[in-house]
Amino acid sequence: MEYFRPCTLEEALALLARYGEEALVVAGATDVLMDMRFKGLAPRGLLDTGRVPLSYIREEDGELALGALTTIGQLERSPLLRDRYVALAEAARSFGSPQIRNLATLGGNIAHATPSAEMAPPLLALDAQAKLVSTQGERLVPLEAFFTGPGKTVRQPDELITEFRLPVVGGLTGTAYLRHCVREALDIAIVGVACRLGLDHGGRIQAARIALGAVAPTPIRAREAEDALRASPVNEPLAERAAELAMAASQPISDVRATALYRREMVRVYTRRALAQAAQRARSGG
Amino acid sequence: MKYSLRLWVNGEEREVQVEPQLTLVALLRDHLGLTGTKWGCGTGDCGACTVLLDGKPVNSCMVLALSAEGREVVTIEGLSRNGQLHNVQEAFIQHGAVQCGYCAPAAILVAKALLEEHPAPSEAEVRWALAGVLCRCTGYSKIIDAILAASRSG
Repeated sequence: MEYFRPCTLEEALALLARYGEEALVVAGATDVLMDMRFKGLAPRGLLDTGRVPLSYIREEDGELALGALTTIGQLERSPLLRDRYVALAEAARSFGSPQIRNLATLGGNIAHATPSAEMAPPLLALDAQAKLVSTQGERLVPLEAFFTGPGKTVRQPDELITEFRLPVVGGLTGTAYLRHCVREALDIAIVGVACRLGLDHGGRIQAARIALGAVAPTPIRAREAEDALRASPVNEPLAERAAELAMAASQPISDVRATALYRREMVRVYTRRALAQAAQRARSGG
Repeated sequence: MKYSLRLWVNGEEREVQVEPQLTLVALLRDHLGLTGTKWGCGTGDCGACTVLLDGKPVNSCMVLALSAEGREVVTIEGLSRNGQLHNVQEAFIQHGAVQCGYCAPAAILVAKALLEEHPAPSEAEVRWALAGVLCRCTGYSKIIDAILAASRSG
């Protein structure tokens, strides 16, 4: 097996252009090593991206830019995220364990694309786009279009995710991320819900996003639920209605963690709770 | 195919030749003879393999040895100085926080890293920091007592 550790993005892209699928991209390695150990993955080469400078959290040109190699731990501790993009910090905090968070990366979590990818719901709720770069050029893909199935994405073998970009939130906007889980750490979510609510000065909902994880083949938006919220003032019956629509949007499976029936019910409960939290945060200015 | 690896382990510069698939835990245990770091699950769930990489706790079973090039690794063996135990180690002994000892190196390293960042943690913060270390013997209470005591004495 060969090993490459490029120091720049250009070097990494040149290697990917040359080796394509034969070079397994390694970032935090926490998912990739599991694949090698338990799915018999035996690539020709390992492309260690650890030295490529893609670790940052910054607001620029009206957007929040998150480098793909930012670790989950860095996201968890970021004062900017905790202040204005709380759902991202909350999802990061609930990820794995402290040791895992010091290794795992945002790009790795999204690229691995499990239906329960922890960071996907808050990114979806914040209208994030993934920037994919190759030696041929670059493209921005809305995250909703990025996932195509369990473990499958639109990323081509010669592409690297370099960053995620999302519009800076402002005004009376609140976000929340809640996950339903048996244990508080080191457990895959039964249900993950991220909400974003933007209110106008009259307290009516201007913008609404509800994103669900672990209850469909990919992380999804609950668009009908979002539509039901728009232009209305926040109140409990409305939240309940949206929660029911979110439940209808989910297509969970039954597995060791929970039955589909239970997951659907938990979508309803957690959507209602996340909406309440997002609304409260929106009223107090995020 | 082997690649040369140069890294710092417990303050000492080490140079080895390793295969790409070699994990940091295997490097430490099998190549460097530092068996204080344990192998528990191989899936990043139990934390028994925890070491400090550039000061931060990580599961060494989840780190490619070659990724540690030029970086600093601290294992449990690196905590005592000239035969003098670290105050976290002393606290573990005094508070009966070690039974079989398998999780102890991990718990101690996590505690050391925590106290360096948060010298006066709350019990909740100690528990949270330990979320990635599984202990089957102690029920955690004496481990937590030891860490809180070390924070008060350190």
